[in-house]
Amino acid sequence: MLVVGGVLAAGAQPAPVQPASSFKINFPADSPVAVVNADWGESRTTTLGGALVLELHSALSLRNSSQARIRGVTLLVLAQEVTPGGKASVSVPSLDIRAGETFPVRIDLRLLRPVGAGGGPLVEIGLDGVLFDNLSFYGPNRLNSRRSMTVWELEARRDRRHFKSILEAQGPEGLRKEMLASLARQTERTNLDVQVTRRGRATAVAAAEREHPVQFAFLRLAEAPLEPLSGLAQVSGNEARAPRIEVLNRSDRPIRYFEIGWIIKDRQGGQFLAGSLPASDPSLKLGPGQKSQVVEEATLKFSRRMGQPLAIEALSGFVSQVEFADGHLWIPSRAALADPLLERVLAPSPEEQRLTGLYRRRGLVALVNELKKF
Amino acid sequence: MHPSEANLALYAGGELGLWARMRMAGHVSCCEVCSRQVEEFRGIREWMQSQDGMPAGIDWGPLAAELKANIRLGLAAGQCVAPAPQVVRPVSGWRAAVVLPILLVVVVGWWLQSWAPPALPAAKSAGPRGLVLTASPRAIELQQDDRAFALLSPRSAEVTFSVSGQGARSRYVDSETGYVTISHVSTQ
Repeated sequence: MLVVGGVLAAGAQPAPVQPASSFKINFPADSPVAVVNADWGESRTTTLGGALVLELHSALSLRNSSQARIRGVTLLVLAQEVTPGGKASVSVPSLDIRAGETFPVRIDLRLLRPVGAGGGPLVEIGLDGVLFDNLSFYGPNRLNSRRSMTVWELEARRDRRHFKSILEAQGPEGLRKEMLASLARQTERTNLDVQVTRRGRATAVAAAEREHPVQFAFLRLAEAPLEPLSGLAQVSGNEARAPRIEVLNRSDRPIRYFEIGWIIKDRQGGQFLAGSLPASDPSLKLGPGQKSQVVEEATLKFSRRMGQPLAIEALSGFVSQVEFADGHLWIPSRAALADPLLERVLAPSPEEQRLTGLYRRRGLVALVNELKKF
Repeated sequence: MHPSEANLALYAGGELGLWARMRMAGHVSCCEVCSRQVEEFRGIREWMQSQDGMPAGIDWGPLAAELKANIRLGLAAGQCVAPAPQVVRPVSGWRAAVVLPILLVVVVGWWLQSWAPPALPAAKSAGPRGLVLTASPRAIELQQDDRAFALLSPRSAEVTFSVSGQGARSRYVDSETGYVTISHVSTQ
């Protein structure tokens, strides 16, 4: 035991991080948000054998230096030197930040690389985009944060309308019941751990779990502008590979992007949201009445928490978002999301998550006051 | 008062004795700072275990021999500087029990401090592997060969995430700020 203690004390030597040599914050000169303060308090490096582990726990304080209200911010986190193409982002949606107000954005990340590899800043933090109250956008949009933040804002407006209508129709007690129902769904919902590999299989499998094609079943949302026609994925045990889905544009406008959510059912009857299948062709222009196929050359391996086994039995899909060529976005309505299966497996929107969190922490009065702000 | 990092690391790895473990469990269950640190140690430990064994390119045989030699050297040095034995007195058991482990820890610590670990060759034995993205409530991690990059979700027990072949997103309400935070790691 003492030997292990000595090894840990000497071998895993946590040391404070030198922010100047490890991180670089790089916002454009005309950025509508400015960094007021950057706290790197709990960041540290540890050497484990031949590997250097660097943990960054930072709290950036940003100020809205524009004249418009900010609804969302996405920061770009680049670690190209650590992983080739290491590109990530941290977004804070559902904001209501007036001109001159400050707000915090936290970034928590871990890097692992060989000792002595490379030099210069390991991580660069930049601005990918800012979404304003009128849905206008500022930023380089390298990770398509404009579309993501606009979808979250549309969902936020939809869900606030829903909760306000309940408050008006059924009073505070009705709103309380709705919050409790949402919290219960969030607690009962099961998330799976997922491993994604871009090529090949995630693991070798025994002959008994030979790969076989499984057809998708589809939930038809009445008002969706896109109709999934058919689809299949190669399934083996807890892995699904190369999902492909054919869709038809049944709207009168061309479509440039869409996402199909997919749900897996295991042999014990459990159903889980597996992920989404986004249109991957950046030049997609799917005209009215036209068909297209979305294919993903990746393998997704699912596992339950605590290592319980999981075997995929069936797959189903639904249209989760559509972007038209003119930039307008379609998202499912609350009525469509009331489908029993979707209600059971789908995570709430970020705004519903924020509002239920507010109710849980500060109570019904605080929630009602928050809804009145919008 | 918080326990030392070494003790937290030992606790995270299940290496503490029964009583120490019970005491530590009591502290960790009510101390958010230490609980987070234990989770971090566990995360690192799990990551290390998920790798292909020990780091490549290290010949452990000579290192083990060097360690043994250093311990013997330390013991021999201790004997050299000790006063010449005039009366043969048996060494009392408790002194040996205290001194020898301390000496061992000092020698091992000195050896580890002075040993510059060789840089890992880029997984030459395993050959290049593709990018692997793993999404779990603790983190979304992008891993390739001996390098990894993870966005962590340390400030919430309730984390939801979604994946596609292009990346993964996790989402949680920050317990300190009340804001929803969405992390996205891209494989593109």
